[in-house]
Formats: sequence, structure tokens, C-alpha cells
Amino acid sequence: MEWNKIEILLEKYFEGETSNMDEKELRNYFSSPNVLPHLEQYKPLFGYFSNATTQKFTIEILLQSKKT
Amino acid sequence: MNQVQFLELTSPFKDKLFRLAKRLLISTEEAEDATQEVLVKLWHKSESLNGFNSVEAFAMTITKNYCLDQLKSKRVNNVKIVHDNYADNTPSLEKKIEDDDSLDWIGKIINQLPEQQRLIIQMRDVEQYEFEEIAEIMQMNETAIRVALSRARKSIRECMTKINNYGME
Repeated sequence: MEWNKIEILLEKYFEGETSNMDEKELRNYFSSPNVLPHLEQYKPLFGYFSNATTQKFTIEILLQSKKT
Repeated sequence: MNQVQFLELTSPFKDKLFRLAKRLLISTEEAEDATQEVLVKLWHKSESLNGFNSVEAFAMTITKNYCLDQLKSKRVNNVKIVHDNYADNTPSLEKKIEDDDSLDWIGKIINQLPEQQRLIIQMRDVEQYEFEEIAEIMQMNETAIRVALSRARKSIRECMTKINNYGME
């Protein structure tokens, strides 16, 4: 059962025992429209992680600037 | 290595350096300055970069150390001011976050964590680094990284629960 698997993964996640693949699965699950009501509370967390990489370093890089 | 090659080399991870700096320094402006400084440092070392098997990990390490130094010197300078007007009438974190409509409340919770935990959360949950890479950057063993990560994730969960319950009681 899918939801059971997610609960197990969540448990492992909080113990620091999930692999990058597991964590990808969690992010995918929590960005899907059918998150179970009792797991809804975790949506903002994984949503935040999925969005956090949109922040970019946009200023021009000045390599010659020599601050002393 | 010329400038063009250097910019090419660093372009896949410069955003990660910036985000790591921002996770520690919070202010966008300070994080931009720090990233700029780190890239200049790296540029001055560009002749020896071929010796590193991961330039990205090296750059992340420099960024981490640079920002931690910044925070340390800031703390030294702030000591006097803090003592002058120290009154703990700041609203609780839950209250502050509830008042803030921005969607970045998870980010705010993360930014309350100790620096080491913030770094690890940033590298793992945002940048999806492998434990091996994080261990190298943090100069810690993988078990210690997992322990700190678990602690950080549980604190975030606890704080989220508090905020969710706030106002319902």
C-alpha cells in the first residue's frame, strides 16, 4: 500500500536514515494532489525543499575585485 | 585557467554557494557579498583547483568557513549592544511566524536551528548532497552527520506542530 510505504519512509526520514532516492520519493508524494489528510501537515516542509533551489546568485561576478 | 574557464567551472554550483551563505547569514545582501568573496578566493587558487577531485565540495567548504567567520566577528561586535538593551520582550517564534503571511515560514524555522544543523539541512534536504560529500565538507563522519540531520529534522517537525496548534487552543 502506497500510504503505508510513505509512512515508513517518513519515519526513516526523521531518523536520518533515508537515501536520496527515498527523499525524492517523499518530495514527489508531497507535491502530488492526493496526499492523505493525516499526512497533510508535512506538505509545507517538502514543498519548501522543492522550491528552495529557485534562489539564484544573479549578481555579476567580479573576479578582479581585490579587497585587502 | 582564464576567467571564462573559471566562470564555466563555477557556474554549475555558484547558486548553491549563495544559498548556503544565505542559510547562515540570512541577509540576501550579505550572502551575495560572501559568495562574491568566496569566488574571488577560489579564483586566486584557480591554478591549484585541478588537484581537487571535487571543486564544488572545496568551494562549499570555503563558503561555510567564510560565513562562520563572518558570524563570529559579528557576534564579537554585537556583545556590547546586546547588553545595553537586553530585555526579553521579543514575541515567541510561533507568534512571529503566525503574524507573517509569507510562505517562507518553514525557512524561518530552519533559520532558528544551530548553525551546524542549518548547514546540514541545507546540503541534504535542499541541495540533495550525498552523506559522503556532506561529511567531507563538514569534516565530520557520516554517522555524526546523520545524527545531526535527524536532530534538525525533528526540531523542525516539533516547531511546525507547535505552530499548527497555535491559535487552536
